[in-house]
Amino acid sequence: MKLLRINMGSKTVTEENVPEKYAELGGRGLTAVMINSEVPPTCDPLGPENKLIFAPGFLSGTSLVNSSRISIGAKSPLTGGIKESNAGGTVAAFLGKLGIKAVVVEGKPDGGELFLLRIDENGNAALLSAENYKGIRTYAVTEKLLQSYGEKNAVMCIGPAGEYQLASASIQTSDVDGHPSRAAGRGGLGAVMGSKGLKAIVIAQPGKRNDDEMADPEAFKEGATAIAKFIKEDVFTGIMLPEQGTASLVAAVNSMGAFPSYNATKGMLEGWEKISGDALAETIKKRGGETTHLGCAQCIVRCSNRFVDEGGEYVTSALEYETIWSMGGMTGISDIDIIARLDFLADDIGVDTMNTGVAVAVAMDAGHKSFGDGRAAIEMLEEIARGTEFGRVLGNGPEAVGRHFDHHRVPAVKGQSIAAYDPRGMQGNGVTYATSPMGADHTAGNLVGSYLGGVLNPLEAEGQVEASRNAQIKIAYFDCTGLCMLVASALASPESVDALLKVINAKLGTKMGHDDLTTMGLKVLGVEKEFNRKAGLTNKDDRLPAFFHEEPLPPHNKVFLISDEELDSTLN
Amino acid sequence: MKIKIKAFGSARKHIPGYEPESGMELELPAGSTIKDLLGHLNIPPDKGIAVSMDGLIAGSDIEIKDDATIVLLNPLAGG
Repeated sequence: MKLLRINMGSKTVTEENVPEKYAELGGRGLTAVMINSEVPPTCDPLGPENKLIFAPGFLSGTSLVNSSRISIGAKSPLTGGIKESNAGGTVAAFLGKLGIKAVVVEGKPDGGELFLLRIDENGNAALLSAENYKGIRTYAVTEKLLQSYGEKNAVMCIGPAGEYQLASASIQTSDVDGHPSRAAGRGGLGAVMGSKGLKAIVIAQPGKRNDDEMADPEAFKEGATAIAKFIKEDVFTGIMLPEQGTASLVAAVNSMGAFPSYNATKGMLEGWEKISGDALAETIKKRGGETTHLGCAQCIVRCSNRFVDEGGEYVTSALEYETIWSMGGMTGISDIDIIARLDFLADDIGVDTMNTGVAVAVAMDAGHKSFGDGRAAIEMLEEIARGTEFGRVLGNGPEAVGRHFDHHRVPAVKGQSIAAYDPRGMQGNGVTYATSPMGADHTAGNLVGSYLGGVLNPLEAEGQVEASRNAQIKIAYFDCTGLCMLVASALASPESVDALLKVINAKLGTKMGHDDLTTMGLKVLGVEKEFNRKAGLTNKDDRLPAFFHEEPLPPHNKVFLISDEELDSTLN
Repeated sequence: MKIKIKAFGSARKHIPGYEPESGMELELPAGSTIKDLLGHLNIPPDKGIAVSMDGLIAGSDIEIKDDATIVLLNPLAGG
């Protein structure tokens, strides 16, 4: 396999064979190790020294189901630390099939020019001018690029927010239908892409899969077949996700009183049943949209959906739990059509739905607009696209909004907003928010399954640090594979982990065992923490905002209970 | 004793005629547990339905309180 290095300063593309030290790395593990060894930790995230790395998982591009996840890494302009943002779509499968282990974007153009990177069906790359795409939103850019290069291509692109280099800017990737509706949303990596003058990457659909890269094709096939069976037979991935997607969680988390609402002042949204997974699926079906939708290449779960308006016209794809929460719960908006419109706008402008929904909520809490005002929320997002003074504040995330209004209640860690689980109602998720090297990030170690399964009490301190630690280690190695985190629960039994090890060893030619996966996760987390330390982050950054310790959350009226010492012990 | 039940996701399939708007009310003998309730509704234990009582996840041996609100939920792992 090869590395592509794209120097935006000299406008050159070079190919390298993958160095031996990177051979067993992929996805998040590869971006973490490369950033830690190649990016000066104290550099300006938007300067020429930062690198933006696109790395499919080491199983991406193989025949394994659900393996088309791309890790995008850089030093984050939002957190000031290392960042891996993970997205679905088709791009990871394409890069893997083309034998491209990573695309490394370096340097910065002098004159503010805009480029697109074309990778053809042979894996050859070229930089082309993208001046005619300046300022264009992601849906329009993607449509034009697919018209030019063919509808089977994969696209990654930024919108106006990325060009403005705002700290909530996302990188959008195209789904199976060619919509740029899958986001590497977290950490402002769209701003890094914008700083490098890179508007889009267009990747040709590869031809036949190259099995020469496989150490043991027969063993791989056996393991891959077993994994598909585990995923199909699991209740969550085989039944629940296909029926309702992640929106099932709206009922669960509200029922547990842990759905941060009205800028995290309540644990239940009034009218949440109107935006539940049941209501969403019913609305979609009634209008002729699609549930059980194929969004990502090689997905057999199909948690995606295609949300349409009352006239049956496309609005957005994969209206998901976290966005329903950020654009709904946090803002007090219980109108699913407004939430769907906000989801589309965020994707189209190119901002993280979570950081942006929370930024809107902080503005509402500070008195800028009223909670529940959907029209105002839409107008606020449009301000980001127009690049107004307030739009730029909003597009820089909740902390920027908090500073703007001098408002104390900003639910963020290391500058990044929390996700859809309040740390006072799900204490262990608070541990993950505080201690993950990524900033507040539910994908770094989510314990909601343990709470629903009754194996951990979400309201007590006991057991939370250990549970968060174990979840963070597991997801850290999972993010190296290219597998979607939603299938992790189906691959939890010893037998299913054996199958996972079989495909990993067959692909890489290794002899890993169960403990080696833990070692891989610990290594990734260790490298990420090392970078953050060298970048100047300390244990004082591994804390939740004070209001989580001071303001009880109804209905359980709990505060966050985990001590600083316990937080410090999580990953040390 | 009287309890209120709300059901979501696949749990609804186990309750014929369930009305999402109003939920349903049920009379159970005092001292009934979550396991008794699921048995009463003919929901097999292997369906993995999670149950909350008044906002707290309740295991199968937990005794149901009079006037409780019970929510039947999909088993989930997080998104």
